[in-house]
Amino acid sequence: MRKQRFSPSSIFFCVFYIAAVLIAAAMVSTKGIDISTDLMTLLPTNGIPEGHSKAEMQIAERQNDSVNIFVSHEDFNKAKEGAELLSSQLESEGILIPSEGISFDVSQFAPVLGRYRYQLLDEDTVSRIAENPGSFQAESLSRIFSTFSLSSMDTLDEDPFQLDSIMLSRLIAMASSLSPFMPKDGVLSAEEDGIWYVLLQRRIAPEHLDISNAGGSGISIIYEKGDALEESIPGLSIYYSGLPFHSYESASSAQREITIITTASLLLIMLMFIILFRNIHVVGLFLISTFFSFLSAGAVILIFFREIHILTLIFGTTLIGTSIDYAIHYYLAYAKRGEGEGAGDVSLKLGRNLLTSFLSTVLCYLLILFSPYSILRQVALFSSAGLFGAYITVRGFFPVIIRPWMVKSNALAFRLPGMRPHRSYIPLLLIASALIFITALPKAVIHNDITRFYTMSPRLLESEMTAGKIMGYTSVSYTIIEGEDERDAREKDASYSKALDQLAEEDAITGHLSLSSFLPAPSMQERSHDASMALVPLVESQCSAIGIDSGKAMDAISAPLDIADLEDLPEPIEAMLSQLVPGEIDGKFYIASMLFGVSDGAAVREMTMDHDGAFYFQKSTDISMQLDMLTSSILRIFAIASAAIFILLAVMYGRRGLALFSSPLIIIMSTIGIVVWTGMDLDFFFAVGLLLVIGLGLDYMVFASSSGEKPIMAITLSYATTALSFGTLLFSSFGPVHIFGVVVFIGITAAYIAALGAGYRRE
Amino acid sequence: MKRLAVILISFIALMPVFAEPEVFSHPADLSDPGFIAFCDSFQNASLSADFTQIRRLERLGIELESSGKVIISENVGMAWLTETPYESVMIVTDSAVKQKLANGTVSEMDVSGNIIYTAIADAIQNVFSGDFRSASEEFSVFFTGSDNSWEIGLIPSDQAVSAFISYITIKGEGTVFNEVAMVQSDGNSVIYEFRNMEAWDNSDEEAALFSI
Repeated sequence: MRKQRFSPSSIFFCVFYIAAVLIAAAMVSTKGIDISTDLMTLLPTNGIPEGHSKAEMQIAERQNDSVNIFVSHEDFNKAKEGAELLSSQLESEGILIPSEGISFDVSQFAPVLGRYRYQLLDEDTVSRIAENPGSFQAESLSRIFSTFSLSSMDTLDEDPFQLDSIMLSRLIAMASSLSPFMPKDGVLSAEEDGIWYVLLQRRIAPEHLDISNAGGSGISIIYEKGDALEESIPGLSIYYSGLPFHSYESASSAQREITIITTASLLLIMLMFIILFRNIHVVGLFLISTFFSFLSAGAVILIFFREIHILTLIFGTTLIGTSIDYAIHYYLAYAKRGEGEGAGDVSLKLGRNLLTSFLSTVLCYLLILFSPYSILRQVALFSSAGLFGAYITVRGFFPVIIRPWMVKSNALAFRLPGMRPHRSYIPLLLIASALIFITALPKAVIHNDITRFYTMSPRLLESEMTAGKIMGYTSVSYTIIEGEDERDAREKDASYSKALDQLAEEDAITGHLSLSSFLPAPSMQERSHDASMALVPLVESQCSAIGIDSGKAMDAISAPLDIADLEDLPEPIEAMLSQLVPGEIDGKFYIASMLFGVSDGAAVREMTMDHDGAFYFQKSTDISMQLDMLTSSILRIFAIASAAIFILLAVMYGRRGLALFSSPLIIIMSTIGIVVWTGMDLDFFFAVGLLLVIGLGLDYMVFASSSGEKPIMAITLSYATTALSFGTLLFSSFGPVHIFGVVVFIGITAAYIAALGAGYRRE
Repeated sequence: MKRLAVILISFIALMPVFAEPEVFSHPADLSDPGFIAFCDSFQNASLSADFTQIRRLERLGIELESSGKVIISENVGMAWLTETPYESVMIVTDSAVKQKLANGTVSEMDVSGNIIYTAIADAIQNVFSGDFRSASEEFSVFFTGSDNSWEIGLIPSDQAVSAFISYITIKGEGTVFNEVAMVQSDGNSVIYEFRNMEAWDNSDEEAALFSI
């Protein structure tokens, strides 16, 4: 008997885990760790210019803590009371950051107009003045003496042509088109179908955005307080809108799923082992394998990532099923070890098969590292590290801890009928899977729809629909404009804004918020100033008609041009507009336009293409289109994976490797065929799942084709544990996770059948 | 909203700004049968009148005077036809403010859904149609005098409106308005003097009038 308690594998096992845990602990202590719940990080950024992508991320980050809460009631006073109560309760608990003001107010522009009125004129006014100054004078006099004025007449001595009135009129119209909510009795309110809505536009305190916050996440407390208010004020309804609500719901859902999937997988697998092996120590062994697998995965992820995405943890639950495979093979091989064979001998004997199994699976995971999804790359690294941990645990630690009394030879697992060699029906399986595949091909559709990534709860869906109905739009998207410098970016923004106005007139969008709408581009300010000069000869007669002295007006209109910048605007307006200005990034300057209610994305896209430096972010469409292309390109990855596996098998098994290669073929053809026949689209996550299936499923064939004792029980258990792990993913509410579960479940089932057919029959 | 209240500054007339008029010492009892009867006496759904607008700008120390004709349609809104010294037309409806100036320039501002605007526009409509009880939704109502000679005072209850309009007074005799004055918090004001107020019913003209 070989006594190899502390083999090189064992030493490596110890060194790896000590090093991994120490490095991970050091990384965590220096840079901390976050669990990300942001679904946007799922999305690839290829196809988007780097600078635009960075600018968009800056804008998106500013929305991460912004919420809109709509408090409604038939009676305005009740709605207001509810909103004020909710606001004060949440502010006193530190959930909401106290608001400094209730809204953007156009009248705040008064000081700016006082200083810059002659250079902030809009295109239409500049044209009217330039074409006929005399006519414009007549127009302004009739405006002054008409029954309505759009601005205070207090500035007539400096503004005898009432240019302020024109500009304020434009700003009022613009503000009205952006939001139906207006200040009323100190709150922002709107009335729709006889119902009053009071809007709380607020930010959540950073510490309350974390769903793991010990005192409860900010969102859960908002819901709790809101529900209590709805009960205490009959007829009151509260609707919630904003990214934090979606992040909270998806994260809460993910946490629930992780708990359920992990618990269900572990319980089912452990129950199966207890029934089959009648030995609690086996469960202990498998738990040790699982523990070290997750320890390795967690440590490696902490070393390479500062942030772990919640979906990585969901996907990562499959490690329970996959990592345990090596332990099963080792345990069963140990149970059936020959006379005089020790634990170390069993490890060595299994070495090649375990290594092939490990390498083929990890190879597929590593190919996923080339995916454009950062989340998939994280999952791939997590799973690879987990499998590596399981592999070295079985090779290096199991021989040290396993004992003969851990095997009960009369257990059910050892009394089940075995299999013996028979004529392979692999050719038959190949033909059958080829038939399924070929007949399904005409129906196969490569289609991605990212709206399936996440399903809103009925409550949040109703809230968002109500918010969309009141606001007049349900979507907000961005165009980001790149300029060589600030001036260039502002000029381009102004040109783009004009094109957006045209699209709004054509109902392709409901409106837009652009910097140039409030702050004309420098060239426009120059033109405005030049046009104002045409009014200078008319100042005297204008003032005379009004009955005021012309001195102040002449001084004001003759003042030299001083281009107004963002920082010249009143603070509340500058704060609002600065959200549209990511500013300088990598030597370029970026300005965003916010597009509301885009109903014709193609028109916006087409128009944007005509504007140099502009990139329109239409995420759902962009991503879906990109994913369609990526799904197709997965076929190329399949080719690479297949070639790599073929080479691996040829190196490890020589000619027998050719026979083993039938397994991936059966898996691919049957999985695609079955999935298409069941009516599912072939999407990106399907393709990634399929890629993984090859690595997982090949293991069965590797062990099935091994010489000597046929480990059919090990293969069956390996399949059962993996199927249980991925099978539980079928119940995930996350589209990608669900699809992943479906594909892997079908794929490994096909692989298992193929392994059984590789030359066995029941004895 | 402040800016919308500013629109109505044009209503502001010359008024003694140093002290509130005496009418504000007499809160109206909206449930008083006498007051209800008074309100009910305003039966004219649509009115027309000649007006003189006097805008007094305190800081500048000037008065701007203009005159013309006003149509207050029950169905559509108000049309202010300024004739002297410069022609202009101002149409005010629930959803928009349209203006046609001397050189033919037409501007339109969509204000549908704008609470402040609609509140004030409704109030003015209510005032001119004698529906002071509806006006009480947005204003505190004061009343003094008799059926023959009376004065109504309105103080906006909404903070945003009151930040710009201190108060409105309406003087009249019987069912005829003589004067509507609006006083702004900064002291500027607009006063409208009405003459030849009469019922107006010309649906054919109405369509043309309100579609500039």
